Order: sequence, then structure tokens, then C-alpha cells
Amino acid sequence: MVRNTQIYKSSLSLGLSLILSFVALAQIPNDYGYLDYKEKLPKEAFVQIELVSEDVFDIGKDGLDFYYQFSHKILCLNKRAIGLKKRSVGYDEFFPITDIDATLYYPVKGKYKKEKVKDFIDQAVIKNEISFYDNYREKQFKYENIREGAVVELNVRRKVTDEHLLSSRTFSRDLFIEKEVYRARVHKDIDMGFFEYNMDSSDVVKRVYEDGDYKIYEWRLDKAEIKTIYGQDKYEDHFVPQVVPYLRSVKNEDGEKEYFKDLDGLYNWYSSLISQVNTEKDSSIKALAASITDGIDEETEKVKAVYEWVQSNIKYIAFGDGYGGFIPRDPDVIYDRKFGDCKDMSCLTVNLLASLGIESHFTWVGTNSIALNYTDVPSPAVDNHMIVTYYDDKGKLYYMDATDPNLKFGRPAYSIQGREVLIALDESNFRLDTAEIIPAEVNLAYEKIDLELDGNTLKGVGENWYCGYFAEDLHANHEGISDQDAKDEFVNGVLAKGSNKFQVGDYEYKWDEESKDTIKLKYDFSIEDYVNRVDDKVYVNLNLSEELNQLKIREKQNTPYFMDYKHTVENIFELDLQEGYVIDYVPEDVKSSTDLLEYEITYQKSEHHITYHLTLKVKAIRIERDRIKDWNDQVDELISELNRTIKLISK
Amino acid sequence: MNLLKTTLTATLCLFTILATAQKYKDYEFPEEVPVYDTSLKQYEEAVIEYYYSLEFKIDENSEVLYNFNMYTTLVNSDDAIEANNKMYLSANNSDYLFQKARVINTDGSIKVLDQDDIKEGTYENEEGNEIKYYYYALEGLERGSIVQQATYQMKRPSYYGDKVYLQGNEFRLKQEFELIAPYHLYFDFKTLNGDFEIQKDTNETEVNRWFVEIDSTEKMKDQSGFYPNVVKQAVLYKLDRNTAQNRSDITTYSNAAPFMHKSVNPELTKKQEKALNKMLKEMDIDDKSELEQIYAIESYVKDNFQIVDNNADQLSDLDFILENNACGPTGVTMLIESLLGLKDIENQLVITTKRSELRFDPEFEAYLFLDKYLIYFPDHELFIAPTNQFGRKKYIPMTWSDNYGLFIRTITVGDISTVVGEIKYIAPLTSADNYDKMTIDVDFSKSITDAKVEITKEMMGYTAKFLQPFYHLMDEEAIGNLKSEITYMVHEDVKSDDVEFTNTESEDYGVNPLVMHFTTTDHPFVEQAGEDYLFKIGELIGPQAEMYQESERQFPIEADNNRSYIRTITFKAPEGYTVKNIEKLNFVKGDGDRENATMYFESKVTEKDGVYTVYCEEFYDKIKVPLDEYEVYAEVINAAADFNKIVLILEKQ
Repeated sequence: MVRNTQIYKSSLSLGLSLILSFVALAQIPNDYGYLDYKEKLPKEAFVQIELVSEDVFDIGKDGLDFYYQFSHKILCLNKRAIGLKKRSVGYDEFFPITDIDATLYYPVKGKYKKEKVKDFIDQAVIKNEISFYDNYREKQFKYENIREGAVVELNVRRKVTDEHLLSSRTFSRDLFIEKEVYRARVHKDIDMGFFEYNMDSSDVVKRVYEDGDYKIYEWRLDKAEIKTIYGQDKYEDHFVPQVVPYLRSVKNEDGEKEYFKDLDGLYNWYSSLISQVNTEKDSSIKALAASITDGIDEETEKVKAVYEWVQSNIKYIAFGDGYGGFIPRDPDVIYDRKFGDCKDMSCLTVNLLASLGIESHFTWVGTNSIALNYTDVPSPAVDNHMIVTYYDDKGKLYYMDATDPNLKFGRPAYSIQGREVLIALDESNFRLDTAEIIPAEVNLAYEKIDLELDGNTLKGVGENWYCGYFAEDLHANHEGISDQDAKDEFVNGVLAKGSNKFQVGDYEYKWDEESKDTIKLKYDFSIEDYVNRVDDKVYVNLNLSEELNQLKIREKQNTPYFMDYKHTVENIFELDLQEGYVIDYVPEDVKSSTDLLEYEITYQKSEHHITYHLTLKVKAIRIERDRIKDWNDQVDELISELNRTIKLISK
Repeated sequence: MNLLKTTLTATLCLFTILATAQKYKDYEFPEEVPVYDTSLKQYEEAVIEYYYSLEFKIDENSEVLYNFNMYTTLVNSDDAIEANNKMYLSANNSDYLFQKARVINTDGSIKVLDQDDIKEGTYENEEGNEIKYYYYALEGLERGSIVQQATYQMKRPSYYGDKVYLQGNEFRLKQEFELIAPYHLYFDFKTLNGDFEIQKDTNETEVNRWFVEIDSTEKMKDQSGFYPNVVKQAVLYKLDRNTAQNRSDITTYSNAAPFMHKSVNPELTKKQEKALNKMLKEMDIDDKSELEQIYAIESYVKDNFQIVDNNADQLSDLDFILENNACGPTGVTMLIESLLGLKDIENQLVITTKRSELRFDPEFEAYLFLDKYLIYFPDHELFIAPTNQFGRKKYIPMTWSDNYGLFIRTITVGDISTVVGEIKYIAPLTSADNYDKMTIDVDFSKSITDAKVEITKEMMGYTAKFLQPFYHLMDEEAIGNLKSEITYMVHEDVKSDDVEFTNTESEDYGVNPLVMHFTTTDHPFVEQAGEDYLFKIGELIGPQAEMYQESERQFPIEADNNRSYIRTITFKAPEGYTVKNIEKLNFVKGDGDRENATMYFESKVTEKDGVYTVYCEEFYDKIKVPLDEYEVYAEVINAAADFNKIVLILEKQ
């Protein structure tokens, strides 16, 4: 029976819209260019006729008056128009909607009719995201008579309630763009910064000019063809063209109020947020810290104990409403609830340590899905996460991210490798550092197996070591399974090699709780029908690892490729031939090394043994566009080596 | 979704009944903390007690159903904590009267859920439906905590049949189910998948109370190949008698059938008739056979009307439907029935369920089973599914067949027409209707490791369901992506740049197989071993399901549909090489010989003039495989997987 491959489900993900419009069509006039666009873009569903995004940074009689005005017009070129019928515009306390209107122009019997949307339903909405609860709401409405040829028009005005938190503007090229403008209108007494990135070869044209009391910054994209991006969605920040506005300072009667002129400005604001935590060390926190570290003398060991306690006893539930996304809850509240988000866990950790007289630091960081650095732009747009750092007496820096229950004490999560970290030292001082990129040797998957032939079955006794991020990932998955049968199946899947007749016998899974860095798996296994025999000839392929076939990056990729972490794979398989066989053919050794990838396969023969040794090292966590072909070529060579089989003659 | 809107309840209360107090209105958690046996600690999560109560009440001439449920759960692991510290309650079909929760920790401290912490919001699910939820996080959970939650809701009474599940993903030590009704209402019950009986509580005199207590229900194992809702322990209930009105056999299909029939066979107005006749004229089917007319009507409606999964009144109103080209399930069935009626094509309305969620019970008549519409043509032994937008002809949704259904027809004697309903079986399509046929040729003449492989894959019926009905709607880019990725079906490392599809028009589904064809020299089917080569012939047929490592089965197998797979592989040994172990390709497994088997796999190889032809046939004409036949089933599944592993040695002469 054919296995249900992903293809069966992915037919819907291949850009398919199953929503059909069945309204009878008459001639659609060219008032909005329908006929011209149909000719120019016969396979396209929508055209962006106009998109104007205007950010106004003004000063009113009550102080700063920031608001956003957005308007777009989209023309529907085919039946997929029906997909735009149900619409919604989201908002929260920081960007509340003050005005919204929507209009539909639709063709009926050769003429366009106008329909203004009357009903907007305001709804609290649950999104499938990190926040368990935040104040996210939507204005929901419908374009009742939408059809092919229709034009939808939407205008939204929002207030910006906190001048520290501003939205970035991106320029996507999913649709043909007739006209797109991002405009910032800045009052002359306001000093705004605009950090631009990924803008080379974006076709965006910039213009800056004065208009009375305002300075206008304008970025335009006109008559822009579609540019499809093939990349990992998670990392799109690294390649989509963007402008990041940030408030530097505002002139006032006393001279100037500084905001994010530089990193000091950003840090001052962050510092003011964390200082709002009520850290009166009530007895529950003090008592908890004491009980966690009871019997431990060495300071670093105490820090480790506290960190690991928070890791295992506080669960992740994020309440992001209001400033809940920015100001940690009080430590005693977090302890009482037994849950919190990254800031809460950091706050509890810092306060537990403080009650023991140990200094540790709130630390802000952006994960690798964010391309910006603090050194690029002093803005909250750079970070999305908070952890704790600690310096021991030798000045060594330890990272503590309690949101990951399996992350080793001191090690940064792999999503922040190479990212800048902003470390709070005191109320006004901070330090900027960069999280290390863990070397490939640390993240090791090592397999040492003794093999023997039993008829057509390949049998083995193995001892595997998984270290570093490998261990953490594997353990997280292992722990996430409660059913013992399912756990066995999972382990079987992890160890699987050769063919899917691989069957684990007994196994022993050991996670080193102390170091949180290693998993040792001892096991025996058999793979039936793996060995091919004919007459006196025996064929067995010792390239057992199945993952090696999956290293290739799809050809379409036109953006940099990101790896989770550098890593090493090492396989040492020793085939014991005993007295029964003569070695007829063993593949040649191969070796290949570049700055991206290194691999070597060797075969050592002795009278009764063949030792297969594979090492593979992934040396890059980011492969630039122009190197993807090099990577794929090297991987292709490796894959062709994997097809080589040993030939023995049985005596 | 029960199609029968409960307009029949109006006849229920003619008397003013002495209202008895709601049993759980003032429920509070007991003072005492639950006590449990330490043996429960072996479970990561165990339900100490689960209580489910339904209370039908008639209050001041309105009828209400109160549903109280309470559970006490022991959490012993991080996973169990994660599963219990956030709660989502769907609020679409009921009013919540209260939601209480508390956490009891190992030190005896108790944290009670603050009502202000219950949030409200809507969530859009995969089908695009918005569901309203109440949700909250529970504070203070640790390993060894006990969580207690009590929910009290008011719902529209479901007199005519409903199902309550009494099994889940955790071990349940004690469960209790009860149903309370006013003294003049009598319910009927059926228990499913469990060794327990519903009893009447003889101690209750003011009301009728039925109940059952169940001990030690095992948790559902994480296995595949069956539908959990079908095998779970459960209770079915329905209203049977109303002694105040001297009525019995209240919930029967003989009562429902006329109503169901009428809802899709209304009297047409002159305007509607005119519009429908115009549609029939457009179809231009007067000279076609009756079967062709049926197919044409079905296609026309499904190509021109959007079927929305919503039974709002408008979408069942023929005028609205004709004006807006949009209809609900009842609406589209009515539209097709009306067109069939105008052409005088005899048919029966059939109503059934989706057996993957709820099996139609042939013994227990209840309206919850009246869920999905089919139309049956006895002269053609044909079922069509009017509500299935992309299905055509006999290819109705797979899980609606191999199931029972209510067949409704009109019997006319003289001037009198009566509508009658009968429970009958809906036979599934056979494996011959759903095949996956591969014709593969391997040419070693130019290269051995880069042999030219040519594959033609024909997918018929349900096998092509994932793509054939939609292909004509895909834009160029989507088709491009599809072509570059579809070779995955054969092997994830196969690449080809000449993938072509034929029979991709919407009329082809159910009539012609979808055909995929490509050639490739970029594949991993040949390995080198010194001078010899290993030809991984088995991998040409694509990845196979396997059941090598199954732990002991908890439940029987139930598949979606009957299906067959035919493979023909031809090749000639490369010049200077002999094929050494060709006999490996001869084997057979099944529960009978080819003519009589319901599950079968055979592979055989023949040779003529140096050309080898491997012929592989595999079929399953058994959807439900009982536990005692599971071994044979696994053998046949694994036979295909075994074939997938076969490697031929090409030995240098």
C-alpha cells in the first residue's frame, strides 16, 4: 500500500485556492485597467493598483501626536477574487484603529457599481502564536459583492500610543505593483531616524524633501514586477527590503528630550521598564532560593541550581496584554503561578540570585529570525527575547535561558548564536556582547557500531553519543512523548538506518542530567534483508546513515540559507567478517573539504574486519546565495559516494 | 451536524410541569481534597474521576438541557502539566452558566480559578469557521498536583439522539454518566465499545434518572489505522416516550423520513420551474441516456454553484440560491433533486454519516445519524454526493460508504403517495475502481548507474482525489512547483524535468485516470559494488506503508477505502551482465487465492528475449479488518514493503 506522502496534503499548499466564484459574468470594463492587466498578467489573480502608507510624526497641543494612515487598492483579475471577501484588520493597545473604511467597486452588466462597507465587527481574536493571551483584536468585515474585475479599497488610520514602539515598513513583491509609497511626515522639531536594509536591488527609490514645517521621507516602488522569494519563511527579515523608523529626539522648551539617539537612549528606556518590577524580596523568594541552593558552596554551582530550578518548574505561558510584553511580573507572582514568559523567567532568576547576594543581568536579544543588530539601529525592533547572563569570578559569561527546559547552563540557545546581546549592568550602564556560535565539534552525533552478517540480516550493537544542541533537541522530543510504545517508536526512528526494516532490540537511553550536554544510547538492532547474496557473493552497503541524503538545498532557493547550528556527524562501523568471508571489493576512500562542508569516508581492511569511518562537518550556519550551488555540488558528490557497496566472497 | 432542525419539539410540553430545581446549579467543589490510590502515580496523567450529567428540564414552557461535567485529574509529569495548565472551552453552541476550576497541590494548598482570569476570543479554524472560546491559564500546577474543573452549560435540548464519549487519552479510574428527565419523558440508550449497562435509578421518583458507573477505562493508545471516535467507549441516547401525551417511538426514522424528504423536494414556484428548465436546456441533454443526464446535472450544479458548509436558511432557499449561485448542503440537494424531478429521473434520498467520525448505527434510530446527503439511483445502482463540490459520479466521499444509511423513497399507490424510510447498507467502491497503476521501464543501454528510467503512473478515482479535481484551477506557478516536487511520490531523490500530466480536465475525475509521466537519469536506483551493480528495483514503486514494528493492536483496522496497486517493470540486463537473483521477485501473500482474496499481494517475473517483466499486483477489498485478521493484513502490507526492499545483483560476466 502506498504510503501517504506529504504530496497528498501539499496539493493545497501549492498556491491553490479552492474558493470559487460562480457569479455570471458580463463584459468587464477597463475603468480600472482590468483588460490591460489581464493581457499583461494572464496568470495572476491580483494587482496592487495602489498602496500608500503614511506615518505621521507630529507634535500637537498635548505633545507628540503619531499616527499611521494606510490605504490600498487591489484589482481582482480572476475568480480567486472570492478569497478577499472576508477581511480583517488587526490591532492592539499600541496601535488602536481610530478610523476604518472600506469600499468595493464591482462590475455589473458592463458598468462598475460602488458598495461602501457598512458593518465592521470588533472581535477579540485568538492567534496561533507565542502569546497565550494579549489584547489583539480585529475589525472584521466583508466585501459582499466581490467578483472578478472588482477593486477593493481599504483605508485605515491608527494612533501610535507609545512613541518608543514603532512599526517597520516592508516592501514585498508578491503582487505586481502599480504604485507603492511609504511616506514619513516628520515635524521639524522631531529627529527621526530611518534605518534601511535589504534595499540594494530592491528598485525602491528614495526622496527627502521639505514641506513647510515638515520633512518628508518617501520611498517609492512603481510598476514593479513580481519577485518571488524562495527561502525559509522564518528568516524573511534577512532578505525582504525594509525601513525601520525610530525616534531619536524631540525638541522642547528645555532643549531636547532624548529617545533612541544611540544605544544609551534605548537602554535607558529598557532600564525604566525593568525597574518597575516590585522586587521586595519577600520571604517566599528568599526561602525558595535558600532551599534550591542548600548544601551548595560554590557560587557558579548555586547559579546553575537556581537556573535549572526555574527551567523545570516554571512553564511557558505568555500574557502579552498591555505592557505585559515588556515589563516582567513580580517574582513572587511568577513563583506562585508556576508559569510565565521569557521576561518573567528572567526576572525570577535574577531575583532568586539577588536574594543570595549573587549578581546576574537582565539581557535582551533578538533571535536569528531578526536581521537587525543593536549596532545597526538603537530600536526595540532588534530584539524579541529576554534571558539572564552571569559573569563568574574569572569574567566568563554564562547564558541562562529558562524558557528551554533542556538547554545547558551557560550555553546560548541556538536561535541566538552570533546575535548581539544587550546586558544590563545597572540602572544606566550596559554592555554589548555577541553570543558565540557553538563550534561544529560540540554539536556531535557519534555512532560506533559493531556489525555482523547473519544471513541476509545485518546485525549490530551500537553506542551512540549525541552532544550539544543535538542532545538538547533529541531530549526535548523524547521527553515530549508520554506513551511508552510511542517512545520506543521514536527511538527506533532516531536510530533507524539502512532501510525501514531497521528494528531496535533492547536499548538504554541516558540523558546526562548533570551536564545537560550528552545523551548516550546503547542498543542492539537488526536490519532484515539488507544484505544481498547471490551464489557466493555478498553485497553490503555500509553507508547506513539516512540523513546524508537530505543535505541538499532546493535549487529554487534565491535567498541565503540558514542552518540551526554547525555540527559534526561521525560514524564508525566495524564489520566483523569472522572466518567466513574474503574481501573482494571495498570502495575507495573519499575526501572533500571547503569552508562550508567537510566530509571523509574511509575503509580500513584487515583480514576479518572492515572499518568504515565517516566524518561529516557542517561548518556554516549561513550559506549566501552565491554559495548555494557550491554547497549543492559538494553534496551531490557525497550522495554519489553513498551508492558504493562492499563486495565479499563467502568461503 | 444534525440535518434535522428540531422543530419537532413544539409538541412536547402541553402541560405545565412542576419545575424541579436544577441539580447542579449551586455546585461547589467539595471541602475534602480527593484521595486516590498511589498506583495512579504510574501514569503521567490519570483522571481520578469523570462525571457527565445531562438534565432535561422544562421551565415555564421552555425546554432546556443542562450539561454538567466535572473531572478530577492527577498530573504527574511536565507533559501532563502542559496539557492541563491551559484550558479552551468552545462556546458556539452553548451558554456557560459557570466554569469553576481549582488546583490542589501536594502540600495541600488550593488555588481557585479567579473568574476574571477567564478570557474570551474567537479563533479561525482550518475550514475558515470562526469558533468562540473561553480560555484561561491555571496557576500553580506542579508534578503531583490535582486539577479539578467543573463546567455547567445550558444548551438546546437534543432529544432526538446524541452521543457521549466515555474514554480519552488518559487512564480514567472512575466515570459516571447520568441523564435526568422530567417524569413523563422516557429515554432509550445504547452503549458502545464497553462492557457496561445503563440502569434506571429506582430511588428517584420525582424525575426519571438513568445512570452508569464505569471503573478503570484504559487510555487510547497512540496507534494508527483506525478512527478514535468510532472505537471509544460511548453512550447513545434518544427520547423514546412521552407518557403525558401517550406517545411512544418518538425518535424513529418513520417520523423523520417525510420531513427530510420534503425539505429537499419542495413545491416549485412557476418562476423557479422556469429558471430550472432554462438550466436544463443549457445542459442540452435531451438526447442523452438517463445516466448521462444524471452526470450532466451533477456537473452543471457543482461547476456553477458554490456549496457552502452552512445550513443558514438563505442557503436553503431556492430563490436565493438561483440568484446568488451559492447554497448549503440542503440547498444543493434540493436543487439537484428538483432538476432530477423535472427530468423524471427516479431516485431515493439517502442520509448517512461520515463513518470516520460517527458510524451510522443500523439498530439505534436517532437523528444524529442524519448528517450527510446522498442520492441513490436504483436503476443504475449509483450513489452521488450532491454536497461534495469536487466529487463526481460514484466517487462519493470515501467514509460515507461501507456504512449504513436511511434510504427514503416515495411509494405511490393510485393517488396516494407515502414517504418511507428504510435502513440499508451503502456498499463501498471496489479496489478495481481505485487503482494506482505504474508502468516502469529501465534502460541500461547507455549507462548503468545513470540508467534511463521511464515512469507512467495512472491514478484512478480516490487515488487521484488529491489532485485531479483541482488541477484545472491551478495557476502556472503552482503547476510548476507541483511538477518539480511530484517525483517525490517515487523517491525523494529523483529529479526530472519532463514531468507531464494528462486527463487533467474537471470531467476526467471519476472517468479517466490521472496520468503522470516522466523520465529521469537522476535517481538513486543503482549502486556500484566494484565491477558489479546493485539494482534497487523495489524502490521504483515508491515508498510503501509498513507495519514492521507495531506493538500489540488495541483496536481493529479501519481504512478509508478499497484500493489496488498494479506495477509492471520492464528491463533488460546491461550488456555483459547477468541478473543473479531474479527469483526473489516471485512471492505472494494474502488471505486467499487471487480470485477469492480480500487482501492480496503478488509479485512475479517472466523473461522473454532477454527482457524481464516484473508484474506486481496488490489489492485491498476490505475496509474493516478485525483484530483476529490483523496479522494477515500486516503481512500483505509488509509484502509490498518487502518488495520495496528488493535489490537485484547485476553481475559482470
